[in-house]
Amino acid sequence: MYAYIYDAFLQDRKYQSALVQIENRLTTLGIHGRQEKITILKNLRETVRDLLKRGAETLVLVGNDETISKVLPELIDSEVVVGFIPLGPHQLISRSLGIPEGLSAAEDLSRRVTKRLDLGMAGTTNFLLQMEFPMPVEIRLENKYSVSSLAPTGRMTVTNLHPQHGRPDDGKLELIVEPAGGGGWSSWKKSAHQTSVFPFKKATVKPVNGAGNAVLDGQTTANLPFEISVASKKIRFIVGRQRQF
Amino acid sequence: MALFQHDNESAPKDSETIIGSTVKVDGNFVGAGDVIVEGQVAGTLKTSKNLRVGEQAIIKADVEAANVWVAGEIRGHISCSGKIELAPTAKVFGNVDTQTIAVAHGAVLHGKVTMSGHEQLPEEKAGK
Repeated sequence: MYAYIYDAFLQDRKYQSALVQIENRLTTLGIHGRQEKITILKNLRETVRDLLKRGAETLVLVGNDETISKVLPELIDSEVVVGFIPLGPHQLISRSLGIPEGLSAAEDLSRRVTKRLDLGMAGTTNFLLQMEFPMPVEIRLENKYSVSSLAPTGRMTVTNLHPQHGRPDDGKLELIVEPAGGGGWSSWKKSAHQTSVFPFKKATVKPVNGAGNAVLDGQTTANLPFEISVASKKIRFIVGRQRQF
Repeated sequence: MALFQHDNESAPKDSETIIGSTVKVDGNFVGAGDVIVEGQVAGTLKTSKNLRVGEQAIIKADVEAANVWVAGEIRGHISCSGKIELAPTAKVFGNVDTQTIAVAHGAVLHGKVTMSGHEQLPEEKAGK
């Protein structure tokens, strides 16, 4: 049984045409199902919980990175298969999983290639995509060595999903250190020898100057210090043809 | 050089570690895959795969890898099960234990070189 959840921001008129096309395509492919549209009166997490209780076998989220991040705790260790139709801004998760945006995502959905994905753990909080730290921080990997930046500014992120480094099902996370002006995913190739990549399974991180917070998946914060680890194969996800793993 | 060439540059490189030019690693680093060093390492550095030491890299550590290519500086002993190649800008201060070695014109190597698996001189066998 397929169940579709449309995030609240998709009520905007500019998405209506795309949504009609997508819904028609899903019907043609024979994978249409129950539809839930999130509004002010209907909470996203509660809706997911409700659908899981009703026995949804495939739960398809329509929206963006924030849509997935908000409901992640409900999907961990569940037997439900999660699908995704990316629509709107902030689509790093779909890029990493090779899922095209909009109407084309319906085709990958019907192919139903599923993978069990890892999750990152910051203390007891999960993240699917990445975690960003305020600089400077001290990071110790595998309880064996520490990594520090020689440049006073820059970016440190821990990623689980990355289009170029690692795999989301390899039981590892990647620490990525970029110099100032590194520009994140889009410019990593230009500064390949300045960008550092450390695959790891466990790490501890603490702020150098007093307290600080890490930001998980652009949504949640976690107070430093904490231990970072991998929760292997915690979520079943339908992935796209364009994936690199 | 054949080390680290990938047929598909856009595919994820499983377990490859890159120590960039703006990063320092302190402690006992153990990598599962290829390691590229462009920054600084102090302590020990081990991998079961290949190690590439860039021109700006400074390693103050004993090193162990399958194959090693050096264009930067290593102050420590190197143990290599395959081949070690020193580029013209390489500076190695420490003993080297390897199967095969190639030293380019201009490289600095200040230490004892032992070629594993090869015939020793009678004086060496006698421990003289």
